[in-house]
Amino acid sequence: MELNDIIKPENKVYSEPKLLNRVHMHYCPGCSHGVVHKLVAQVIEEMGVAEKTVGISPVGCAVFAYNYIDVDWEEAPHGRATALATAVKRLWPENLVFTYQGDGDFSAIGTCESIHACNRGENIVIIFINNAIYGMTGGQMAPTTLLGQKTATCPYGRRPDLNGYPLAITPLLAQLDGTCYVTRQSVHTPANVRKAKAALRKAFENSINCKGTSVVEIVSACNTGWKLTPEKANKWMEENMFAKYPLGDLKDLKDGIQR
Amino acid sequence: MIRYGADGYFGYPITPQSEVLEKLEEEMPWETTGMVVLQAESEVAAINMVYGGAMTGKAVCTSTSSPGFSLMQEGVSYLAASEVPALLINVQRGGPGLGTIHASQADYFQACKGGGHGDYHMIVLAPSSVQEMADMVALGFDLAFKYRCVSMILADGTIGQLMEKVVLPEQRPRRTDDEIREQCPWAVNGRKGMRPSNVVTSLELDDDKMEENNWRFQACYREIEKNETRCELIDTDDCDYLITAFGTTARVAMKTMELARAEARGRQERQGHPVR
Amino acid sequence: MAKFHGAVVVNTERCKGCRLCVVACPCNVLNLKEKEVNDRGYHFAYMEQPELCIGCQSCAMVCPDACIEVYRASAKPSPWR
Repeated sequence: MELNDIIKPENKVYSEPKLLNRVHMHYCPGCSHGVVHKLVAQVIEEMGVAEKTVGISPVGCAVFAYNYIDVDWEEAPHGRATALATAVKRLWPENLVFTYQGDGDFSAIGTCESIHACNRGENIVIIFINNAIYGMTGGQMAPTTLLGQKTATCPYGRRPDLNGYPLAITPLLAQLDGTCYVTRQSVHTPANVRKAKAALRKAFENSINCKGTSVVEIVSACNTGWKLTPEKANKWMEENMFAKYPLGDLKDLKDGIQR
Repeated sequence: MIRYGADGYFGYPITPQSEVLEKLEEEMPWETTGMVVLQAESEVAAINMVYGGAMTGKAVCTSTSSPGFSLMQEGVSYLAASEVPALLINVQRGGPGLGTIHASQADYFQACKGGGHGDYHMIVLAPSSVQEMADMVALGFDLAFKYRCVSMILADGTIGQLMEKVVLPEQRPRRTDDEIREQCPWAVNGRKGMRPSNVVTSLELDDDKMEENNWRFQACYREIEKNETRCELIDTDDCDYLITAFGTTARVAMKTMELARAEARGRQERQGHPVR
Repeated sequence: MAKFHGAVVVNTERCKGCRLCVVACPCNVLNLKEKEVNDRGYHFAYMEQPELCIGCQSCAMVCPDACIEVYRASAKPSPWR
């Protein structure tokens, strides 16, 4: 078959989601944020809930998420996204409310708000991008930075005696009575992208059906921060990140939390 | 707050204003007007819940006392920069630091100059009686929505703990979601009818635009100064000295003035001068 | 069995040349232009061996910049068979 026979509207099987704005994203080449944005837009579009979706963007690389996904957005102070989301969901209980936070925002400066929102069982979705580094400020140590991993603020590698241990916050959240769905995914291969999309869909449905807090951690690559090519960064992630942050569901209460 | 038809209150206990949260929880307004009441995990979370709620166009408020209000400053600055309406209440106690739980007016400059980072101001209303405190809730909300800015009731511990007769305002209905959508077209609450998406943010990396924003904020503050500056004038027509005061101090000042005038009257009578 | 033929269209201006699609493609269809760059200076992706594409969407799924569209058609079996 000739290319002209294949490239016809009726044969189109994959195109960018309509809710993704036609603008250049500011992310570095190969950054996982773009894939997750795309999935979020796809899932909202497929569920047909753009009319009642409110996203909360963080401080960090994803601060401009509101420029890319065409839904209503609030931009939160650093770490406070879950507090904002709490209010939005309580005041507009029929809405789908999600936060989109990085590891610094969610598990360093915002730990208190993150844990308490989950513990109250707020009917929100937390999308937590864990790339073990502070991307926007230029590659400093994150709470999730692995032992031995070099960053701008632990240039000789993270040491437990100096910097403490990498923080796996999602297992902590899975222990709380308020969370109904806690999962860890990645988006570095097509199969993982499919799984991550299904996880996001489940989490979003939980928010709309008020089943409790859903946490979707996406173990991601920050190739610029890690100083690797996108390809090698994915490989490094597979070899190093997954040992500390293994993928899979940590908790899945089908009927939601007990109230 | 309930009688104003407020949509949400988010607070954290701190003396001497914990009674606000206690009373709201006791009243259970979510059963009657549908108002949301939530005890947050900190003042930082509380102000950010207010921020989150305010951006959706709902009438939301918080109350705290001095150290708690210091914790809230980041959120207040964001509220001001995002031009969203909210009502904050500071029942001041003595400072600095943990200070005392007794009344003080030491947060005057923090309240009037802004408090957090950046050039911003709030509308500050200072009640000197429980009646004024009750009335200022509605006034504060109305002004906040009129100018899309932050209103603050700056009370002090004495007014906060005072028991006085008060005539409560009439119960106003809460605005419906559709009314909010109509009155606050900028608000973030979902793209109903697939209208263009709304984003509320305090971030503007373009320096020129940020400067423009600041000019707009300042113009709004000047407008508020012009239209909304208010004070109660008592016996000012013939005064030799003018005492200005707010809150508890205003009550002290009123008494001082009464005594001074009585003393002056006595002196004048003794000296055979005509009595004013 | 009907054989699937696929094709991708890359939004070359949006592509940042991260190579993730090239790695994800199971059929070695894609590559980055070696000498050409787009307006932003990136070596963008293109179909180097278009005849091998099966329209599996792997490249599009991992593309962080949503710049790949995928088309898929099944070749009709020959009427003489």
